[in-house]
Order: sequence, then structure tokens, then C-alpha cells
Amino acid sequence: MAPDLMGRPLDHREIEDLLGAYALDAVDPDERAAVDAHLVECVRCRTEVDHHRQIAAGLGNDVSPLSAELWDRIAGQLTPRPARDDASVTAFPGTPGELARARDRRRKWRVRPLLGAAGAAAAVAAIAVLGASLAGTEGQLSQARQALDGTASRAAVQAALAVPGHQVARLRSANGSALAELVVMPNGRGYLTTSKMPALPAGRTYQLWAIFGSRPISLGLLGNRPTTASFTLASGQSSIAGQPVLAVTVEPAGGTTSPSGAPFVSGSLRS
Amino acid sequence: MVALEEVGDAPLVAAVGRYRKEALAELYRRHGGAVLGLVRRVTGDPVEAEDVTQEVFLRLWNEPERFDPARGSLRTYLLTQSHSRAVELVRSRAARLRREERDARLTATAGYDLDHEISDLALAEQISSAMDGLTSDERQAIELAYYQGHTYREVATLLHQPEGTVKSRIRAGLSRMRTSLGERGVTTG
Repeated sequence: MAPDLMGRPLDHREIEDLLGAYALDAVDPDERAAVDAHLVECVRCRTEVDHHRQIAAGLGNDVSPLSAELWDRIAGQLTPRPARDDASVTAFPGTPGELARARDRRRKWRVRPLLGAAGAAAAVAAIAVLGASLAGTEGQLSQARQALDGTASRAAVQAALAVPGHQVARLRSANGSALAELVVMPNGRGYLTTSKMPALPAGRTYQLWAIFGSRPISLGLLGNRPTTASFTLASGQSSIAGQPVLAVTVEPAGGTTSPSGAPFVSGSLRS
Repeated sequence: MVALEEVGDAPLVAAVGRYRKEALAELYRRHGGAVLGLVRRVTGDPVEAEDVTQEVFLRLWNEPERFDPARGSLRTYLLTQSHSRAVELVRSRAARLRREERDARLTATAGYDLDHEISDLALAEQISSAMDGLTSDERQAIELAYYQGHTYREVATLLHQPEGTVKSRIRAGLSRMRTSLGERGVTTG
């Protein structure tokens, strides 16, 4: 019998029971969605799934011989690197900054690790880009792992994007450039998933707002170099006053109680 | 200058992020066979297996930042994606078959006979022997789900066992294998 997703969400125990089957891709789509949504919030279950998948990957070690033809097929579809990327071929590790710049060039929208606390006005902080953990030495890698454990990960964003009924907003500047993207789940929990907003000088911060009609409600500070953040759009807010416009303004560090100027970027939620 | 073969997976992924085709080639050399082998085993179709392998490595090329080393090894990441895709293929095919020959299919798969042909990789051997430590019920449930792409509900039907029991056995079996590997000092990350 399918879980009663409409009426009663699966409780923690029921989700836990599913984790093994989930890790083996052996659950029904509605159960998968329920677990995806739960993993957004639950570090412990996410860790358990990661562990099950590591075991499963060991089960999958049926190595087949590779053909040169298959590699040629793959290689034939690789997008070429941009001309500006002039880094040395042998300098693989690179610095996090270099990697971040390289990624900036190749990705329109990036999803980065999250650091965030729940709460309507929770201040949020930037976290080292994934590049830092990829590019570092082993020692740096384990540090990065420690930094990431206990925080919501990029998987949280991906899971949020898999939750039925989620909405996304693409925030655009006055000239129409899409500079940030948000996802909000039906329960009101939301994430700044990607940002191309430029870094601000010290002493300034980006602040996120939900604007209902003409009434702005602060959703939190994004800092002066936004990467990824979490926030909560209280469900009562949108049901009473309709769909808000989400906007980001530039404010003095510490934020303000109402926007001091026109939004830097803004956009509406859509399904 | 460091030889490509001596570079760890994580720096190679970083290099892929910087459009190093030779880094992707090295990762393909290391993990392509496992990806191909898994998908071939699950789908039973060599053509589909090559298609999925191509898809998985192109995705790594296009979106290397999706790999999060905090959540496990690159091999785990690639095999997780490959398995998921393989299962999708099996299920869409199964749905087609079900319309035509529901009973025949159940009869055919109920008499499963899975071999345990696993590569000579040390980890795989360890996992295989950890698998031997499972009860036969746990092992059957995990194998039917993982290798044949059945949901736990389907496994329950095939084994004539309650769904909740199968669900618990899969989870308990995987957890026990991890514990058993840990006791032998094997890490699976």
C-alpha cells in the first residue's frame, strides 16, 4: 500500500524503515519522494543512506572490459574548454580560488554546500565552496568533510527540488539578468540554491525579503558574498496575503527592518 | 610532474572541472568498467549498459561539482547514479512486459539463480564475504532488489513474504555488512 502522502506524512520511524530499500533504488516513487524530503532535514538518515550506498557500490563491482569505441563516443561529446582557461595541464590540484573561477566560467547556476539555520530571520553564512574540498590535499579534504558534516548539504537542495509541490523563483536584476535562484518547499522551508550576485564591500550585506503587496518581511541576511542559504517562509504568510515577491536588497551589515532602497534582484515563486 | 595514475580521484574531478579531458579519461579508465558491469548486470543489455556509461561520464564532465566527497567515494557516486538509471530502464521495460505477460514474468524471475561473480577488487571480495554473513533471507532480498531492480514490494511478492519484513531485512542486511566490514578494518568510503 502506498504511503498516505496527502493526509499523513510518514513519521521518522517509517522513513527509517525505508532507508535500506531506498539506497538500493527499491522503493516506489511516492516513497522515494517522502524519503527525499526527509533527508533534506535529517542528517542522521542522510548519513545512513550514504553508508548503505557505499555497501551497494561494493556489490556493484562487476567490472566489465571497456572498449575503446565507448570512450571515443564519450570523448566525442565533451564540450571543449573555453579559450580563457589557460591553467597548466599538470597543475591539477590548483587553488580553491582558481577552481571556483573555473567553475564560474562553466556553470550558469551552481549549487553549493549549505550552512544555515532554520528560522524566519536566521542569519546565514557562506561556506567554503565545494572546490575547496575537491582541490585540496587529503588533509584539507578531511577538514572539509568535518566542516560539511552537520550542515545541510547540496543534497538538501537537490532533495528540495525533488519534493512534490516545490516552487522556484529566479531573481533578476533591473536589467533582466538572472542572478540568484531560490527553491521553497510546500512546508515553507526554502534555500538560496545559486547566486551570481557580486561580492559586496565589508560593511554591506545582502538581505532577503518576502514582499506581500507592499509589506516586506525580512527572511534573513545573506552576507556580502552569498553562496547558499536556508530560510523559512511561514506558511501563514503566503496563505493569508497571497504569493509574495521575493527580493534581495543591499543593506548595511546587520541588516534593516525594512528595505532601504529598490531591490537589487527580485522574482516570483512559480511551480 | 605527477603521473596521472598517481593522482587521487578528488583532484581528478577538480581537473575535470577545469576541462581536463585526460582527467576524465583517467577516471573512465578507473571506474568505467565498474559502471558498465553494474548496468549490464542489472539490465542484462550490453547496449543499454554502454548508453548509461556514456551518460554517467558525460554528466561528470558537465557537472563535476555535483560530486560531494563528504558523502562517499567517487566510485560510490558513479555507481549510485548508474544503478538508479539501470533500475529505471528495467522498470520501464518491466511495465511493458507486465501488460503482456504478467504471470510468465513472475514465474521466470521467481526461479532466480544469481551467480556471485564479483570482480577481484579487494573491497568487492570483502563485501562478498560480508554478504555470506547474512541470513539467506537477507541476501535474497538484497540481491533481488539490487541486481534485478525490483522494489521491496516486488521482492516480497516473489519471496511470498510480508512487505515490512523484506523492507527491514534489506536495511538490517546492509547495516550488518557495514558493521562486519568495519570489524575487519575495511572502510567503504
